[in-house]
Amino acid sequence: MGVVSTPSTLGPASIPPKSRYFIWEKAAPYVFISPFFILFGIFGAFPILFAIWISFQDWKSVRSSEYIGLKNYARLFTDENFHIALSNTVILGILVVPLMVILSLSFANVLNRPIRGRVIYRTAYFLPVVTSLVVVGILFDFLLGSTYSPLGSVMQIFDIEYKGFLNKPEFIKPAILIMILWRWVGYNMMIMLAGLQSIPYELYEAARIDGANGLQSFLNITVPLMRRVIAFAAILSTIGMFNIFEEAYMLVGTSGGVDRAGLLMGLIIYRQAFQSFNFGYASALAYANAVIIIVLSFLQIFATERAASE
Amino acid sequence: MSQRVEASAASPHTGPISPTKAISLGWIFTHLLLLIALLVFIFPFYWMVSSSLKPLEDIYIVPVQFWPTRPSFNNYLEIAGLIPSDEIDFRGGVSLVRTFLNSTIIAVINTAGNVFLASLAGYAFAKLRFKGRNALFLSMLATMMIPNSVGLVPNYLIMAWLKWINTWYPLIIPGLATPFAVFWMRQYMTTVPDEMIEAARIDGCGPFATFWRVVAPVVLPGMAALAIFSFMGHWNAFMGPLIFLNKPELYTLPLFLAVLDSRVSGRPTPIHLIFTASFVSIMPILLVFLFAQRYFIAGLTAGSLK
Repeated sequence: MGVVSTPSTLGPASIPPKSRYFIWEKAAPYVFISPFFILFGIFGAFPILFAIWISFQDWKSVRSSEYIGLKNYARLFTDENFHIALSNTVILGILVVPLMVILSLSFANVLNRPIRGRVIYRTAYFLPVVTSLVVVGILFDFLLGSTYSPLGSVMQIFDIEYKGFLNKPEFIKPAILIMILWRWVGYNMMIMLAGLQSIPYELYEAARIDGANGLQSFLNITVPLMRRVIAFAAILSTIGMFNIFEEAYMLVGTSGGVDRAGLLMGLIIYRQAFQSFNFGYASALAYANAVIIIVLSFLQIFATERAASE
Repeated sequence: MSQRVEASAASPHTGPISPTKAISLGWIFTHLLLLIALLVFIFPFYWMVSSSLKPLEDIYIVPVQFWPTRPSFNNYLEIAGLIPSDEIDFRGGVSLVRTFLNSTIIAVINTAGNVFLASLAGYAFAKLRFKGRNALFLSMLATMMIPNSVGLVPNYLIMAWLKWINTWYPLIIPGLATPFAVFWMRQYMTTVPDEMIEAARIDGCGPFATFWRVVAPVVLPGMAALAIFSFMGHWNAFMGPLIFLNKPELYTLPLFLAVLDSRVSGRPTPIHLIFTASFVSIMPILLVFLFAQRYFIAGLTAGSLK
C-alpha cells in the first residue's frame, strides 16, 4: 500500500490520469466490495438460485440426481406432514402475533414512563433475548415437560394433577406459545420503545389540555403514530414463526411431539433434508415456505399502508 | 392492561416522579404486574442456576427444591472434566472446556472477519461512486427476503463437494459475508460527513488509508454493535454445527448441550450437567449484555431488519 503515503497537497481531481494513484482511485470501490461479494456470491446468492434447480431433482446421493420436473412441488399437495406443519405454524402464528404485539406494546408503554426501577425491568425483560435458543429449549423442556418441574408444586396448590405438559397433544401448542412469548417479548418491547420515544411529548400534553384521558390519548395518539412500528413487529413475528427451529427441536424434536402437535415448518424442512436426505423435496418445501413468508409480509405491509391512508 | 398503563401517560417521558401520584391504586397495580412479569422472565434462569448447584437426585425429586439443600460446585468440575465423569468419558473425553474454546475460536474469527468485510463494502456503498453501485446494493438487499432455510440444502451440497463436512469451514466462511452486516455498516457510514473524507484525501490519504484511519474510527460504535450482534449469532448458532459436525472434539457449545440430551445419546439425560453447561454457555453473552447494553440493543433491534 505504498500509494497511501504518496505526498500530495492537491485534491484527487488534479492527479494525472494513468498514474498509479489514479488507477487505484478507480479500482478502490471494486476492491473494497469484492471480498464480501465473492464470498456472498458463493455461499449466499448462488445457493438461492441453486435451490431452485435442486428442487426439480430427485437426489440419490450427494453426487447423483435425476430431473423430475415439478414432482417435488406436486408432493406438497399430498404430504400429510406438510399440511400438519403448515396448519400448526399458522395456528400458532395467529395466537403469537397479536399476543406479542399487545404484550410488548403494553410493557413498552409502561416502561417509557419515569417509573421506579424501569431500567431493571427493561433489562430483565430483555434477558431472554440474549439467551441461546438451544438453552431456551432445554429450560422449557424441563419447566413445562418434566414431572419434576417446579410447575408441579404450583399445580399442587390448586390441587391439579400434573405429569408434565409436553406429553399431552393439547398442551404442546400452548407450551410453544409460552416459550416464544417469553423469548421474544423483550425484543419487541425494545422496538416499541424506540418507536414511542419518537412521539413528541407535546401531543400528549395538548390532548390532556383538551380533556383527553389516558386511554383516549393511547388510542388516538399512540396507536396511529405507532402503526408502522406495530406492523413491523407483527411482520417480524410472522416471519419468525415460519422459521422457528432450535427451540422447537429441543422441545418436541423433529417428530413434532405427541400427535405431531408441535410439528412446524422449520422442523419438516430440516427433517426432509438431513434425516430423510430428500434434498429435492426439502428445497421445494423451503421455497414453499419462502413464498408463504413473502406473501404474508407483503399483505401485512399493504394492509398497514391502506389503513394509514384512510 | 393498556388502560392501566395509560393512567398517567401524560407525565413527561423523563424527569422526576411527581410525588402527588406516587402511591395510587393504579401505581400499585402497575408495579404488581411488572413484578409478576419480572418473576416470569427471571425464573427459568434462577431454576437453571439453582439446579446447577444440585446433585442429580435433588433435581429429580418431588416436592421440588426451590433452594438447593446441599449446594456444591461438583457439576461444574464434572462438566469441565476436572473430576472423573462417565458422561465425559462417553464422549471421548471431550468436556465443556474444549467446546467452550471451539465456540470462542469460531465466533471470534467470524466476528472480526464479518465486521471488517462489511465495513469495507459498507464504506464503498455509502461514500464511493462506482458503476453498478445501486444495482449491486439493491440485489443484495433483495436476497435478505429469502429465509435461510432455502440455502440449507445447497450449502450442504457445496460443503460436501468441497470436502468441508466435519470441519469448521462451513461454520466460518459463509458467516464472514452477510448482507445484513453490509447494510448496517453502510447506514453508519452515511452519517460520516463528506468534508471529513475530502479533507483526508487532500491531505494525501489514499482510498484505503481514508477508510482505515479516518472513517473507521468514526464508525467504531456501529462496528461495536455489529460485532456484538455477530458474535452472539455465532456463539448461539446451532443448525450449522448440527448439520456439519459429528466429531465430539469439533463440537460447539449449543451442539454439546444438545447431544447431552437422551434423545440424541440414548443414555439417561444428565440434567444436572445440562443445566450447568447451559449456564456456563450463556454467561459470556450475559456479561457482555450487562456491560454493553446500549450497543447490544442497538445491534439487536436493528438486526430485526433481517
